[in-house]
Amino acid sequence: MIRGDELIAVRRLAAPPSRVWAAFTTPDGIAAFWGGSHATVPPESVTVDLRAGGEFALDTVGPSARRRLRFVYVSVTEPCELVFDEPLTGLRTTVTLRPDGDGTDLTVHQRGLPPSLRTAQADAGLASILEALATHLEKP
Amino acid sequence: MSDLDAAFAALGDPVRRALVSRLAHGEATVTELAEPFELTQQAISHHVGVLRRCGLVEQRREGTRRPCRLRAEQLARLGSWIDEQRHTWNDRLDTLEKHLAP
Repeated sequence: MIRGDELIAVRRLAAPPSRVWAAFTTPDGIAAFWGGSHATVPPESVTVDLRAGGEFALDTVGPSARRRLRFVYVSVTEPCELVFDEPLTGLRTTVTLRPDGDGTDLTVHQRGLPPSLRTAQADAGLASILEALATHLEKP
Repeated sequence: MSDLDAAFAALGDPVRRALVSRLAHGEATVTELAEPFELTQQAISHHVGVLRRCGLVEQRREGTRRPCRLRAEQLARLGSWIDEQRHTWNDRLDTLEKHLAP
């Protein structure tokens, strides 16, 4: 695990890794769940170029807006690991699938902060902004 | 999540981080914000525009002055960004579970 990674989610799924992998890497699979309960993903909006350096993209349609999300695969290791970046935020997500009996253990890791915000200059970093904010909010 | 993405992208720029830090200490006009920088007011206006569009800053009119104010609630959300990510992914995986159900 890369230092600074955050464990975002762990889930045991009652389906073999091959089915979970297909859900993450095929247009119909992505469309079925990527929007969660708050948005829908039109299947025809999903494009997948499943290879390191390839892109997958989709539209999420929520109550107030339609957004195009774009991700670039960093590595594709069927059916156990998928790593992708979101260029807009610099955020890297690692999805790991491990067979568990007749199901799959799934973990999602994300890098703690987009690299654009990991600045060596503490005085210009997010931490200092949040400290300044805290100070501001403490004022009567 | 979308405005958080935009906010993170906006804070990728050191000038905009400095502007946010300055506004955390109180309201300021573009003229006042521009003082410490070797940048034109137009350049500062552009940066303020980016911060406005992602919801981190709001600007109102007071006669001829147009003071900028930090939207603290939006910045506070950035602080709980990991929580946001967990929420988003857990919601997504709930949906995945339903999708995979036999």
